[in-house]
This record gives sequence, structure tokens and C-alpha cells, in this order.
Amino acid sequence: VKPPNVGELCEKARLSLTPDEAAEIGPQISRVVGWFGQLQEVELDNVDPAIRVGHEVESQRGLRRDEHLDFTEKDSMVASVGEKEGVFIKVPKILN
Amino acid sequence: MASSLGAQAHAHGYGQAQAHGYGDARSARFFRNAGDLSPSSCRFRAAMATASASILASPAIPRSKPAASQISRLQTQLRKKEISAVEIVTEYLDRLREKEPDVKSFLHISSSALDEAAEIDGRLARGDDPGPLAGIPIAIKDNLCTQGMPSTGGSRILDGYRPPYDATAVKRLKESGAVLIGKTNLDEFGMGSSTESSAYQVTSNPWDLSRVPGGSSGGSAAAVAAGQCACALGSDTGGSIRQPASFCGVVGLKPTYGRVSRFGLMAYASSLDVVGCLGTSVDDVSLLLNAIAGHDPADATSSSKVVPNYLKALVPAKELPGNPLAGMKFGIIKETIGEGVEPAVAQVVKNAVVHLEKLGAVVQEVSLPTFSLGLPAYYVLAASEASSNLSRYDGIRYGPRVVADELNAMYGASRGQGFGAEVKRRILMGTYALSAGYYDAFYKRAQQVRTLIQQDFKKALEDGHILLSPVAPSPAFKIGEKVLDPLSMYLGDLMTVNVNMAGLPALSLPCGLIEDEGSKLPVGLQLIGNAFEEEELLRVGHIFEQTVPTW
Repeated sequence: VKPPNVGELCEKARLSLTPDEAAEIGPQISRVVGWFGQLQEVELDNVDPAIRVGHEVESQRGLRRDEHLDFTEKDSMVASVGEKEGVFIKVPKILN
Repeated sequence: MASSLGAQAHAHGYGQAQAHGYGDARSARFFRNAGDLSPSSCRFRAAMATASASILASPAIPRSKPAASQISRLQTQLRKKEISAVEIVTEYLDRLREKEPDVKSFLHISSSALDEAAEIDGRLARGDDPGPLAGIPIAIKDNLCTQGMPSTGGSRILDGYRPPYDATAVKRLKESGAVLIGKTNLDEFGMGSSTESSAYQVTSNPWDLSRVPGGSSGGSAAAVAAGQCACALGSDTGGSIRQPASFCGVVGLKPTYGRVSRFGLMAYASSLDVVGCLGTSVDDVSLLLNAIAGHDPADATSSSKVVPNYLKALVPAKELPGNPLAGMKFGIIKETIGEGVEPAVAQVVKNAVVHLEKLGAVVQEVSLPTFSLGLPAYYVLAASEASSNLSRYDGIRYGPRVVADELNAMYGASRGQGFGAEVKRRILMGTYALSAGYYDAFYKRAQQVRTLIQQDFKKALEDGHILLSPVAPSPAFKIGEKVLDPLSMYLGDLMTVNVNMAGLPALSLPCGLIEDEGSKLPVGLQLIGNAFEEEELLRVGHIFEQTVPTW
């Protein structure tokens, strides 16, 4: 298992670190990931992975009714947006 | 001295804001900006502050008698017209302001608390019943959305954010007549065990101001312990209600996953998060749970199971039979009282066990063989879920946005500047664990360990046992002591994380004090029950707190 590459992870997570931050965080993450390594030493054949808690969760019982619900505080939601133009949220250009 | 300058700034700033009739945003900023954020300044503050100053001399915290319900007492006085809601809220607000320069529990104080109290008085005068929590001042952890007040999650990335809705738990408290007195400090987005990773301020433990209140619900626990509110809401993903409750000597309840709606709780790890309660007695925590528990169509993981009246399970001390726990079986978890736990903590917990036995209980040792694997498994799962949940903080729809020419650069800079170090670490570790090629090695294995832990609990609980353990391996540690080594912070969560992975309910109960460097520090006993059996935990907890020798 390759150790964590901070630069690659930052790109995936859309997170920019300063060189100082990267220098500090890199070793910290590697240390914790090394500690995660204990999980590789356990015998886990034939054990199902648990996605959730041990008891049944409501959503396992089926879907809710397909009916339209209206959120009444739309103005307040829109007020939180930093940059707007008409009915659009403004963002910088998107490069590939 | 740094701390008294801080105190002056607080008092002066707040006083000015009030005098000029500024809105709450202004007064909130005075409070927020008076503290400095970096770990080095925390250590400076800790060093400069009177080494073990405690602010618990106040008569507001009953220490010489068994824990009594604040809510019941206040409701009785209110209904008998011996006191008004305005007088209740005024008393708590005065105490809040008095303690706040030292404790710094609050990120925001409600500017409408007295108006709301006046409205409660008006309704009572008209013969209306505002609800079972009428006039009770309650503090809300700042990762719960409150429509009338800012909600930052303890993060700069939500600086100034005002949610367009209330969290369901908050809405239900309001419907019960509660007065929401303010928003409390927390580790950023719930990630931490000391409240030191708040982007805004460090909260001090009221028992010893040079120590942490625990985390991530440290602000809520400290506020309750200091009498700044009657009780509080918190959240618990890996111990974030129970551990601060233990460190601050208050009662903390982590309900069963699904018992309380998560709608409006800023998600950290969606399969682990729960909303829960803190108070100075089991009665108060039960009353809070009554108000907030129950199915919510807005939360697909909330349970439709009927909510009992949790107060009904609690019998007053004088009506208890001689052996109130006769026939009850408890299992103390072997892996939590040996190596890795401070001997003084293990001793206090063993004394608590002796007390339970005197009440008629049978206490055996039980073993959960996969116990210690839970900690790395938890951190893999929590970090992975967090890396997904925190993608939404992108500077576009809410929160501060850093200007950039191009979208990815904007995301990177907004998130890079908006998130603190611990959150960044967890997002990156989670991203790693979920990456193609690493999924099997980490995430899947963590899920498999989760299955084993659930199986171990199921076996141990099926004999009708309630499980016991210390809440934390140590009492409250010093501010700054663990910030330089994230792993040392994680290791303190050993006793609590497995409960979240199984989704079980657990109660943290003050059970004694330890003396450390001249300070008296509380220790909490953890009681773990079967899913949706909060009644049993609260019943036993209530008997324990009513009969335990005073401390």
C-alpha cells in the first residue's frame, strides 16, 4: 500500500495547502495512516462489512411517498449565496 | 496578565454593545474576537492563567446534595407563580456573562432570550401552556442549525452563516417552550476531543481553567457545569457528548442512533452522528430527551419506534426500595479497566461498581475481544465519511468565498483558508482511505471490524446486562497538552467510539473526583444499553445519582 501523497490527495479533495501546511500535515497523516495499518493484521475472512449500525434503520424499510414538498424559506437560502446574477449563482470559469 | 485583559475586553465589549443597542451579531463578534486562536497562544493563556483556578464556588451548582432537577424545580416555581420566565432567564444570563470571560463556552448569545421569556410569561398569564420546558434556558451546540442565530460549526468556512431553518431537535425544544440562550463552542465540525480545534476560541473547564472541557461538545458541557444554562444539546459521533460530560462533571446522554432526528445537524459522519443532551441531573436529561426524540420524515434514518415518557422510569430517592437494583446484571468491560487507563480513573470506576453492588446489582467482568480495534476502524470510517460530507463547503452557496480566476482554484483556496488543520487532516486521510486501490485495505476492513464490534456488543448485552466502563482513560488534560500530536488525542477516545459504531445508547454519569496537581477533576462512568433502551439507562443512572455519597 503506497503511503499518502499529500499533493494528489489535495487535488482530489479540492483543498489547497500552503507549502508550510503541507510540510506539517504530511508527516502527521502518514503517522496516523501507519497506525491504521493494524487493520491489515486482523483475520477478517468471511466477515461481512457493516455499512451502518447494528439495528434496523428506518430507510431500510422502503421509500417515502413520491409527493412534492415545498421548502418555504427560499429567500433566506438565496440570501446566503456570495455572488449572484439574476436567478443564477455566479462562479469563476471552469477549466478542464 | 493575558486572561484578565481578555476578561476586560469581553466585559467592555459586551457592555458597549448592549449600551448602544447593537444587534446580536455585533456583541457576538466582541466575544469571538477577544480570544486568540493558535495553539501557541492557548499554551500562553494556560500558562498565564492562575494555574488551577476553578469557578465553581457559585451556589448555582449543587454540590453538597444529590443531583436535583433544575427543570422540575423551575417549572414548579413558574407554574406556582413564585418566579417568572423573565426572572429565570435573567438569572441564567447574568451568570452566563459573569462566567464567560473565564470559561468562553459561547460563540453566540441570543439577543432575543428575554423577549422570548416575556412571551412565555404572557402565554402563562393567558392560561396557555407553553410546554414542559417553558422558560428553561437551553444552550445549543453550534453545529446544530438555528434559524434565528448564526451557526458556524466552529469553523471559519461558515463564518456569518445564518441557516434558513431550525434543526428538528431545536424546533422541538422551541415547541416545548424552551428559551434558547445561545450557541456553544465545539471542535470544528465535531472533529476533536478537547474543543481546542474550534476556529474561534478555546473553552476552559470550569473545574480548572487551565484544562480542556473535553470535546467536541466542550462548550455545552462547560456551560452546563458553570450554570450558564440549565441544560444543553450536543452531538456525539465518537464520544463527543460523553467525554466532555465526564471531564466537566455533568450528565451526558448519547441516544440510540435513530432515536433523535439528525436533520439540521451539520453532518460529520452520517452513520455515526447522533444528537443528544447534557444536564446536571438524569431528570433533566430525560426531560430533554422527551422533547427531542421521535420520528422525523426529514431524516430517513430516524426511527418510528414509540417514544416513552422517559421521566416515568425515574423514582424519587425516598420512594426507592432497599435494594433498588436487585436482580439487575451489569458487565464491566475488562478491556477498559486495565492497561491504558489511569489507575486513579480505574479506581473511581471500581468504587462506583461497589456502590452498584450495594444497591443489589450483580456486576461481572465481560470481555469484548475486538474492543481495541475499534479505535483505528472508527477513525478510518469517520474520516472517510467526513471527506464526503464536507465536500459541500465549497464557498459557492454559503460561507466566505475566496476570489479566484478558475473554479478549482476557488474551491481549493476557499476550503484551504476556511478549514482548520484537524479538519484538513481528516478530509485528506478520508480521501486516501476511499481512493481506488486503498478501499479494500482500509475502508472495507474498517467496516468488517465494525461488524465484529457489533457482534461482541450483541453477545455481551443479550444476557440483560448493562455494560459499564470509564468514559475516558484520564480526567481533563491541560490546554495545549495534546495539540501537537493528533494521534495522542485520538487514543483518548478508546472507551467511546465502539458505542457509535454499534449505534447503541450510552449515559455518562459523574461518579467521583480525582485530585491532580491540586485540582479536583470529575470522572464519568459510562453505562451502555441495548438499542432503544434509554429508559433502563436513565432509570439506573437516576438511582445511582440519588444514592451516591456526596462529593
